[in-house]
Amino acid sequence: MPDSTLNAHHFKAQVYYEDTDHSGVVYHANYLKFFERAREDIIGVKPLATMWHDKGVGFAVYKLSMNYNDGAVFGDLLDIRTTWEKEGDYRVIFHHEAWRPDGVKAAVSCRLELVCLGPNKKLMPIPDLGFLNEADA
Amino acid sequence: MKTLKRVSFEDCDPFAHLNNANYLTYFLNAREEQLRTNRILDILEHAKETGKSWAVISHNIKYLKPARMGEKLEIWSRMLTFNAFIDLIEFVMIEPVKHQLKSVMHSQLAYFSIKEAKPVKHDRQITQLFSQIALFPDEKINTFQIDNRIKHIKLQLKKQNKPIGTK
Repeated sequence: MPDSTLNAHHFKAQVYYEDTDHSGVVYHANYLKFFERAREDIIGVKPLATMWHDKGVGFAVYKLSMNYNDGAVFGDLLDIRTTWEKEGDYRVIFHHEAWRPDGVKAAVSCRLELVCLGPNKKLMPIPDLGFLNEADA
Repeated sequence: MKTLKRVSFEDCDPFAHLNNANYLTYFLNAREEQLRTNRILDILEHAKETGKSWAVISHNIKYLKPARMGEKLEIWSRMLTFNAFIDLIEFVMIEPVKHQLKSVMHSQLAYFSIKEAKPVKHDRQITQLFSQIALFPDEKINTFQIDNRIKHIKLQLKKQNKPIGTK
């Protein structure tokens, strides 16, 4: 995992009451929504929406692995740190970390592989979007 | 153990595929219900009685085929193995008519004290229970690679006459 403090994209995610569960921390699956918002912030909501509405093209998660080290609580403003790299023509790998305020390590880390689906829902090469030019190796 | 679950409209993305985050919810909810229905363990009751419960410490999931809106799926779960602090649970999602493997997830859950918010060892009752239900109780957690398990599950599906819930 690349050093998450350098060259990472930062996205702030507010933890709301509805994100937490009975144990008082963010429900484990909800981190994926924070990570997805971070990706949309990186790629750009407008180009994604245009791609979807005009061409029926979108992204899908192929596989992911997540590790939970700490639980974020209601009221936390998380720092979602993301780096990414393209793998071949069909895949982008994202590395996400969710950091709590004053955290000394990532509360949750995730490695996620994204592919692109065309209007026929078939796999297609990743389109030429600006964010890939900023990809970290 | 299996649960039948239809993919709901609200859980899908614009492709009419189950949203990737919702696979986790479908899997874990199915597990909770299976444990209760089969009278193996009521997690809520256990927490009330002992002050202990389980927390997810890792997920490893492969999305092999999309789960489509309206599809009626089988969600299987089984404990592969465990140690003093952690259980490894395998989840399998299949479309039973086409015998199509949709997704497999491996999750590690840690036993912890709710009051102290720190990991604790499984007590004797839990250890005895897990020894009976784990498919491979003598194997170490890091023995299991999800890709190898997927190959094994696909073979089971091909054979068709062997229930997915067995080894």
